[in-house]
Amino acid sequence: MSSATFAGFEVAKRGISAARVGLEVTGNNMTNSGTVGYTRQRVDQVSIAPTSLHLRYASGSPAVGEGTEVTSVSQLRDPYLDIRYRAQNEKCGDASVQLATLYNIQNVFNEIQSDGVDTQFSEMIEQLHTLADNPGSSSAEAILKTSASMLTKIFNSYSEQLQTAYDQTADDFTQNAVPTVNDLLKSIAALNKQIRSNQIAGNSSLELQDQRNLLIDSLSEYVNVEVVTASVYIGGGRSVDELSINLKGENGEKFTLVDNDEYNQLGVSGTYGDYAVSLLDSKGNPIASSNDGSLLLSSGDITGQMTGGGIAGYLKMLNGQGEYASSGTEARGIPYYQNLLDTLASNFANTFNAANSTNSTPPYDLPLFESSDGGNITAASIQISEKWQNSTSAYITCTKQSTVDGSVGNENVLYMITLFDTDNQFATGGGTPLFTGTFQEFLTNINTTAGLEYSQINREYNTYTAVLTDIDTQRASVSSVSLDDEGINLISYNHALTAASRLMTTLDEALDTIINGMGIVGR
Amino acid sequence: MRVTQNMISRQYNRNLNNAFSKYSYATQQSTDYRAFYTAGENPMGYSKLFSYRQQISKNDTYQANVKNVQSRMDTAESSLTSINTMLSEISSTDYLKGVTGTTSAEDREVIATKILAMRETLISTANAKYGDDYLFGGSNSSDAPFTVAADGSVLYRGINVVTLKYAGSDGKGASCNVNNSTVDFGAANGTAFNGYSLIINDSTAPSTVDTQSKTITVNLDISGGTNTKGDLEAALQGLDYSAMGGSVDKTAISIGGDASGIISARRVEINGGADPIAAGTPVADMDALANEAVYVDIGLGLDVSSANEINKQSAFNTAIPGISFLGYGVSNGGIPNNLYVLMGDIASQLTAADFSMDKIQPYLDAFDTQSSKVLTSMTEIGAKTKFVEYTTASLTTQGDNLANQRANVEYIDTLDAIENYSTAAYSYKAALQAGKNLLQYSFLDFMD
Repeated sequence: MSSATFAGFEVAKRGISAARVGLEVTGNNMTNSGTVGYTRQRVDQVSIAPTSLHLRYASGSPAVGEGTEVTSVSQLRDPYLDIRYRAQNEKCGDASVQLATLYNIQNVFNEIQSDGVDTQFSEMIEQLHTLADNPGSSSAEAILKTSASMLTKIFNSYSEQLQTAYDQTADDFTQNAVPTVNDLLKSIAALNKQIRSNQIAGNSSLELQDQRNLLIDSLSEYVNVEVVTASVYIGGGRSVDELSINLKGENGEKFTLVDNDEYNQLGVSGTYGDYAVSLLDSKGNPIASSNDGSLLLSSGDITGQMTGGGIAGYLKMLNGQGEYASSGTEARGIPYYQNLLDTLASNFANTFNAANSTNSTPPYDLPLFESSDGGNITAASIQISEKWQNSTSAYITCTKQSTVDGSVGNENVLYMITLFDTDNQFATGGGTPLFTGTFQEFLTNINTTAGLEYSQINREYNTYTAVLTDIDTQRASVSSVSLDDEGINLISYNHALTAASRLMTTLDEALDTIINGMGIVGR
Repeated sequence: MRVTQNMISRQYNRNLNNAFSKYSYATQQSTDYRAFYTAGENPMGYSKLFSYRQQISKNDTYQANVKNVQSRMDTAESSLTSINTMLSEISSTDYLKGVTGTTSAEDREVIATKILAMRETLISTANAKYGDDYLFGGSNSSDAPFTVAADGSVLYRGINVVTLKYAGSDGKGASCNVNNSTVDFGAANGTAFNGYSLIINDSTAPSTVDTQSKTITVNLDISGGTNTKGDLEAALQGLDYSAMGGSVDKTAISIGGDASGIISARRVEINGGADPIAAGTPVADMDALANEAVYVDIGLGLDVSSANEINKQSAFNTAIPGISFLGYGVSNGGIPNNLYVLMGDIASQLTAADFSMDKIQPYLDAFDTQSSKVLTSMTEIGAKTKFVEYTTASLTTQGDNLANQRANVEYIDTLDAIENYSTAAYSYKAALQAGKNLLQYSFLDFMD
C-alpha cells in the first residue's frame, strides 16, 4: 500500500463534489421539464485511473483508482432526428402557406350558402324568358338591365375579393415572412459567435445551443436549409463547433445563409405577379454566385432556387399563373384564378355583345357590356355599356328577322337564352385550351379546380404534419425530461452523496485512530 | 421507447384538439344537415350540386312558361268555341237554314239584322285578350288585331282583309304602315315604289336607296333620340331617288299621325297602290301573317341559330293569328273569304231588292267553307292543349327527380348527422376524462 495518507479524503471529496454536480444537473433538468426546446443534460463522470507520475520508481503493488471526476455536462440529442425534422418542416411550411391561400380563394367563389355569379346567371336567364314573352316591353327590358347590372357588380366584387386575398398574402410575405427569416439568420449568427467564444473558454453553452436549435427549426419552416457542423480543434484539448447554414438550390447548389458569425439576408422585390427573392450580404450587397461558383446570380436573384419551405409556397401563390404562363409550367397561384375569372367575364361579355348587335365583327354597334377603363373586358372592369345605360327606348335586339308590320318578334331573345346552354371554348390569351362548356359550367369548374387543389394539398399537409409530429415525438423521447428519470436520479445522487460523506466520516475516524490512537503507548 | 410527461401532454393536447374539431364540425352538420360546406371538402359533389341547381332553375322557368301557355290556350279555346257556336247558330240552326227562294222580305230583313248584330260579337271575340295581351294578333299582342275602318272595311293589323293592301292605299299611291301611321309615297309617284321595302335603322350613316335589292334604308339616330315621325318624313323627303329612274316627286311623300310620335327600327314592305290584288294571287304579307309563329321555350331543347332561325321542333308555338281562321283574300268569282265581310255581304244580299237564291248561294257556300276552317283551328288548339298538359306533367316529374337528386348530394341523412354528433360528443367527453388520469402522477409523487 503506497497511497498517500490523505489521499482517501481526496477520493471522498471528489465523490461528494461529483454527486453535488449530479444533483445540480438533475435540478436543472427538473425545473426545465416544461421549457420548449430544452434538451436534457447529463453528467459525464469518469473514474480516475491510478497514476504513477509522482513516484520515482514504478511500484509492483496493486493500483487503486482515485475516485471520480466530472469531465463535462452534455446534452442528449440525436442530430439525425434534427435533420429529418427540418426536412419535414420545410414541406409542412410550404403546404400550410398554400393551404391558407387556397382557402381564401375558395371562399371567394363558394356559393353553397351564399349567392354569387352562378345564381345571378340563372336569374338573368329567368329575366330573358320574361322578355321573350313580352318582346319590346320596356318594363321587361328594365328588369333585364338591372339583372345584368347586378351580374357585372358581382363580377367586380369577386375580382376585388381575389385582389384583397392577393394583397394580404403579398403583405404577409414581404412584411412578415422575409423579415422573420432575416431576423432568424441574424440571431443564429449572433448565437454562433457567443457559443463559439464560450466554448473556447471551456463552457459548452448547452442552453445557447438549445436556443440555436429552436431558431434553426423555425428557419426550416420558411426556407429549404441544410445545416453543416464541423468540430474544429483549437488546441489545449478543446474543440469548438462551427455551424453554417446553406440554402439548397434547385440542382443541389449551395448558397451560404449563415457561416459562423457572418450572415446573409434575403431581399424581396417586385410587384404583382413577379415577386423575386434575392440573396444579399449583411451590408445589402447582392451575392454573386453559389458557394462553389458554379451558378452565377444576377443581382443576387435566387427566386428559382427556393424549392421548399414557406417562402417557396408564397412565391407559388403570388407568381403562379398556371396555364396562363407565357412559357414553361407554373404553379396555380392567385393570378391563375384571377385570369380564369377574367376569361369568363370577357367571353360572356363578348358573346352577348355579338348577339345583341347587328354587325358581326367588333366593334359591336349595340354592346351590352363594356370595360370601364376602355381596355379589355375583365372581371374588375366589366360594366353595363354606356349606350345601354343611357338608352330610354328599347335597346335589346329582340329579333334579327324582319317582321311584316314592324311588330317585335322574340327570336333573338330566345337565341340569347340558348347562349347559356351553348358550349364555349375557353382558352388562355396564348391559345392554351382550358375548358369546353357553358358559362355556368366553367364557373363551377373554377370552383372545383380550387377545391381539388385544396383537398389535395390538405391531404399532403395532414400527411406531412403526421410525420412531423412523429419525428418530434421521437426527438422528445430522446431529449425531453422525464420526471420519473429525474426523480430516480435524485435518489441515486443523494445516495452517492451520502455514501461519499460516510466515506469521509469513516476515513476521518480511521485517521483519528491513526493520528490520535497510534504510538501513544506509555504516554 | 422512452416516454416522458412532455410527450404525453403534447400528444394529449393534439388528440384533444382533433376530437374537438370533429365535434364542432359534427355540431354544425347536425344543425343544417349539409354534406359539405366548401368545394374543397367534396369537389365532385360540388360540381354535381351546381349542375342540379342550374337544371332546377331552368325547370322552374319552363314550368312557369308552360303554365302561362296553358292559360292562354284555355282562353283561346273558349273564345274559338264561342265563335264556333255562333257560326253554327247562323248556318245550321235558325237563320240561314230556313232561307229559301220564297222567304218573305220581312223575314229576310229580320234575319239580316240578326246577322249584322252577331258579326260585331265576332270581331270583339276575335279581339279577345288574356291579361294585357291580345290572343289572336300573332306576334303583335299589344294592338287589337282586327279593326273596322271608317268606310266599313276590315283590317287585320292594318291590312285590308279583302284587298290585302295596307289601309289608306286605295288607289292613292304606294304606302306602308309604320308604328301605326301610314307612310304615303304619294299618288303622284304612281307605282314607282311598288315592291320596295322600307328599312329603318338605328345608325348615323347616311340613308340610301338601293334599286338592286329594292330597299330604301333610312338611318335615324334612334338611340340618340332623333326618331320621330317628323324626322322620318324629313329623311324620306331628303333622299336621292335618282337611281330609281323617272322622276320621283319627293314632296308627295308624307306620313300621317302625330309628327312627334316615336319610330322604332323595323323593316316594312311597301304595298303597291293601284288595283286590289286579283283573286288567287299569293300575297306574301298576309300569308306570312296567317302563318306567323311566336315561340316559347318550354324545355324542348331550344335550338336557335345566330341568324335567329328557330328549329320548329325545339320550341312551342303559341301564336294563333286571327286571320288564319277568319279568312282573307278572295276566292273564285270574287267572293271574299273573310267571315265578317261575308256576313255583311250576306246581310246585304238578303235585303237586296233583287234577292235570289242563285245570287246568295256562293256567299252561303263560302261561309260554310270558312266556318269549317274555324272548327279545324279549334281542333288544332285542342291538340296543342293536350301537348301542353303532357309537357306540364313531364316537367313536374323531372322537377321532382331533380329536387331529389339534388337533396341526395347536398344533404346527409338526418340519422347519420345525429349519429356523427353523438359519437363526436362522446369521444370528446371521453378524451377529457382520460386526460384527468393521464396527466397526474409521476415518480416524484411517490418519493419520500
